[in-house]
Amino acid sequence: MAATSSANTITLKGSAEIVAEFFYYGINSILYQRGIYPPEHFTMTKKYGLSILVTTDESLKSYFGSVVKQLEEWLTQKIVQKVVVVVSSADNKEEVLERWQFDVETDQNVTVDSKPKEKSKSDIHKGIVSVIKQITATVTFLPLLEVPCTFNLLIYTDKDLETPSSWEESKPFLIGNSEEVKLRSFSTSIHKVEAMVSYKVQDDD
Amino acid sequence: MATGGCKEIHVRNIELTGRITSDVRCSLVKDIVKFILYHREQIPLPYEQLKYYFERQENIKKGSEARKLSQLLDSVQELCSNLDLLFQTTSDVGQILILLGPTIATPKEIFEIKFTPNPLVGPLMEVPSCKMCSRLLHKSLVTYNTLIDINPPSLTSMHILFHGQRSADTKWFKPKHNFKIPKRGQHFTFQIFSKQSKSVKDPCQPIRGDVEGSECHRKEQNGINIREGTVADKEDFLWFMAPTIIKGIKDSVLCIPQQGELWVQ
Amino acid sequence: MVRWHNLPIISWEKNCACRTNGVYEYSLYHAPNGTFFTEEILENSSVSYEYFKMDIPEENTVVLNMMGEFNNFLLNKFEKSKQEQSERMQLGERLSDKSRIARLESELEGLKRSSKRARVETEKEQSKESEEKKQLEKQVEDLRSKIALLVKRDEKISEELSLAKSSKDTLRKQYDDQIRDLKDKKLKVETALQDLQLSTRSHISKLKNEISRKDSEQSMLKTTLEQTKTQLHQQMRKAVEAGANRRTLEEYKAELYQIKQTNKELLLQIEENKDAVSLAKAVGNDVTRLPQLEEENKRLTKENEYLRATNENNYLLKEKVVGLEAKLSRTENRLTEMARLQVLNEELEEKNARSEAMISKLTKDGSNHDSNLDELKKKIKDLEEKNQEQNEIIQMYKDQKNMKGDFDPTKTKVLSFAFNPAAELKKKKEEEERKLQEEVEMLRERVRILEEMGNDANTQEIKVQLERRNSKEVDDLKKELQASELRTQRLKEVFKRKIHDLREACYRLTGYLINNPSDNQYNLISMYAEQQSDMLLFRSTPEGEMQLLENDFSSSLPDFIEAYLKQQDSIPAFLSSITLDLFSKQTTMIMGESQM
Repeated sequence: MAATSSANTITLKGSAEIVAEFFYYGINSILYQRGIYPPEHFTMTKKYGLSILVTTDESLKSYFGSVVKQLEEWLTQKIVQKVVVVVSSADNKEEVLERWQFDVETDQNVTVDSKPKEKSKSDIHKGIVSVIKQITATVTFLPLLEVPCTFNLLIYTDKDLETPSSWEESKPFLIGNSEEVKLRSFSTSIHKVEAMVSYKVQDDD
Repeated sequence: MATGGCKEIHVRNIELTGRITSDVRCSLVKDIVKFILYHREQIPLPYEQLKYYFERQENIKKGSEARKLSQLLDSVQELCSNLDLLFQTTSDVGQILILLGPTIATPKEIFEIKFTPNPLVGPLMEVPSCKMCSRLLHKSLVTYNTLIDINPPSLTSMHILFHGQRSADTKWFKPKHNFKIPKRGQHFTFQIFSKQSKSVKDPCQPIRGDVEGSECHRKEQNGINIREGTVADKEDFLWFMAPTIIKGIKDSVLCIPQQGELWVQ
Repeated sequence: MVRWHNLPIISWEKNCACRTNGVYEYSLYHAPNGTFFTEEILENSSVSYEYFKMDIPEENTVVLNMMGEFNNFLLNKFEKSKQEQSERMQLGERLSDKSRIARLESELEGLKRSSKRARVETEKEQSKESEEKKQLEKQVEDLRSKIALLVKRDEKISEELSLAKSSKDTLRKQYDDQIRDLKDKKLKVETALQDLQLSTRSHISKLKNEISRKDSEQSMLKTTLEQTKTQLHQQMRKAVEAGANRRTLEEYKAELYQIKQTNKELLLQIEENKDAVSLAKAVGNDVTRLPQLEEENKRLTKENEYLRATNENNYLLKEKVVGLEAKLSRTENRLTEMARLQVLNEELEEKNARSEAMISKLTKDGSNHDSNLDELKKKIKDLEEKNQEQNEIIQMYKDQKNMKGDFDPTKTKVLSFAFNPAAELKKKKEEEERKLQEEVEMLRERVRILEEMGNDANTQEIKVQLERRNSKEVDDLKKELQASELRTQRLKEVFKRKIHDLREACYRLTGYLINNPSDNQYNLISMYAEQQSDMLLFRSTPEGEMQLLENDFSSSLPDFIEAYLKQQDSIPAFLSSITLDLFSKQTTMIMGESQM
């Protein structure tokens, strides 16, 4: 059995867990900041030394439970390439307005039984904190979402993965006429996550 | 040399398009002040959110910290209204200085805001709105990795200065005759410039070098204040300081209810 | 001039004389030492004394002298004082006059000033008042004009009001007509509804009858069920006993089997022991042979080493031989090659000469080519730079595409969880749409029917519509009915079970089976009854008492009735006594049978 990760070392499983956890908190932050669900549906939790708002809606919680669990498994299998949050309008047009993309780079040489790598947990947390803070700060320049919106999570994986039941192949939901902004990244030394956001160019003002 | 003694000046170029009016410039300066207050950890929440909570008496713990918060909001309000007045009456405000530190001679961080003159006016020049320029400013600052990577200073005071003519019509800002930009502290410069569309041609060639040419150049730029004098008198410029100092406040001013709590006093 | 001695004397006392002139009082005192002094009480009540000494030759003369002198003195004094007084008075008068004048002058000036002021003020007031008057006049004019406007407006409004009233009346009439029509319709609909309700009620009562019938069937079935159950219990008891017997049998079998197994194992062990014994004997033989074998072993190892060494030497020698042979073959080859090369050399020298000639030709061409080469090299550099730029641009495009979310379908696939919020939202919307469409359809139907109804009020069609509507209600009612039927059935089952268990317990504990054939009637059959028809009949009265009824069996128990019911008035005692009696009878019978 591989050694469990301590405060200064990290294993493949430990890294997958950390990254999956980051996605849970990061995506919840995006849902709150962009007003996809009203603020009453969120509650404050402390994580990474920050106050992060997470959803209290039961159906959303169970959705996240299934997706994050699967994501952790796939991260351990090193086949995750991207995780995308697609924000689209809730009316009949179903127009894609924003796309939060997280590129995942995995060290292919690491396995479940490899020796743990040297990386302090506090460094990883610092990196995560700077990404989440930056996501929060993007509110100041992203165009306002004026219509009610809904969201979906897409995961880009290796082609040869067997699609499990209750998952299905989907379109990538790209935005026509968009602007992209590259954001920060963090690394666990096994997985590296780079954040970026692309949004529909509006012709206002 | 780990703290404060860095002499490297970090320059961040912020590109806007079109002719930037003076109230847009004023609004950008106010935005930068509020940005620095939050992102350099002098206030626990973004300025507008903090003000919103304070006005509704939500999530603010009563006591000395609340008084300090009230003071901070008042000082920023006073500064903003006086900046409005300054930019309305003076057209030549080309440089603003924001210092974070105990005194203006011993700052921990220096932020210089430089406005480059507008490109020459053409008939098709667009005039962007405050909102649009604010968005471009924030986009540039939020993705400025150098600033994010440098650790913010501890709770300290903010001082604001502007570089203007000796004869500038300001009663609130006080002239500081012997002030020079300090050499210590982390130094950041935000260069705000605007690009023009390529179709507009430059009518006055400043390459000519004679007095008339430079005058013409200046006349076009400073639409409001057409200076009678010929060459820029650098000695006529000096630094003016805002009399109110904005003091940072601690996180403990907030009392956000935990899970399960409905109401916190 | 006043003469003192003429002044009236007002008193004469020893050493003192007082006289007055009506204005001033004078007293003359004769002091004992010979001096005299006058006391003058002046106008202002002050007193002045004047001393003077006199010779006293004789009393009278002295006195007269003194009196004369005194008189003169006093007269002088008097005149002086009078003069002074008059002067003073004149001064005073003058001063007072002056002051008065001054005062009056100042007063005069004051009055002048005040009068001026008053004049100015009055002028001001006048002007103010005139202005005010003007303003008021203006106001009056404004008000008059306003009044005129208002009057006009008032007229207009009153006109409008009358119009509105007339229109309102017409509308009211219309609405009243409409209301009447609708009321008629409503009445018709209500009558139809009542008919339907009656029919449904009758239907419901029929169904209830069916239910009651079924219940009675059920109760019958239940009693048969109970009987069979008691039989079943008995059978089960027997089965349990049989089972127990079987189990003991099987245990014995298992034991037997085990014992057989142990037997077999013991036999095997015995055989093994025999083998072991023979082995031990063999080993013993070997042991004796051991030292001999060791000596042989040593000898053999030494031989082995010797043989290995000789083997190695052989190998080395063989290799040397092979090497030398190879060398030999190589040198032979070299010799042949040398010969060949010499031949080649001659050939090449010829070629060389030919190629030199060519080269000289080519160098001439070469110089042309060099310049081409340089150009080509430059072109290559340029193209490489452009290539790099293009590559950078391509990389930028790739990055941008990547940021937008593009992917290579041969290496990547995009997955999404089936039950995601966007899809759920879509489903909800579709559901809502479907529901709305159904509603719309229904409403359209209604509207169509109402419209038709509006044209000719056909009761048939109303019925159809109502039936359609009511059929749904009836379906709902039927469903409810089914559900309630199920519920009652379940409840009944539960109650029957409970009652049965209770009755069973009663029978076993009290010894009586209590039946309730009809209301307030109870049959009791004892566990130890001699025959099935021996039952006690009881009836409960409306007052709550229990009465024993006469039958054949009760008439066989007069003693018990007498003792426990009539005298002690205790039914439990009565019943218990009967139980004991029957029980005793049974056991004696059994004992009697066994004895026989």
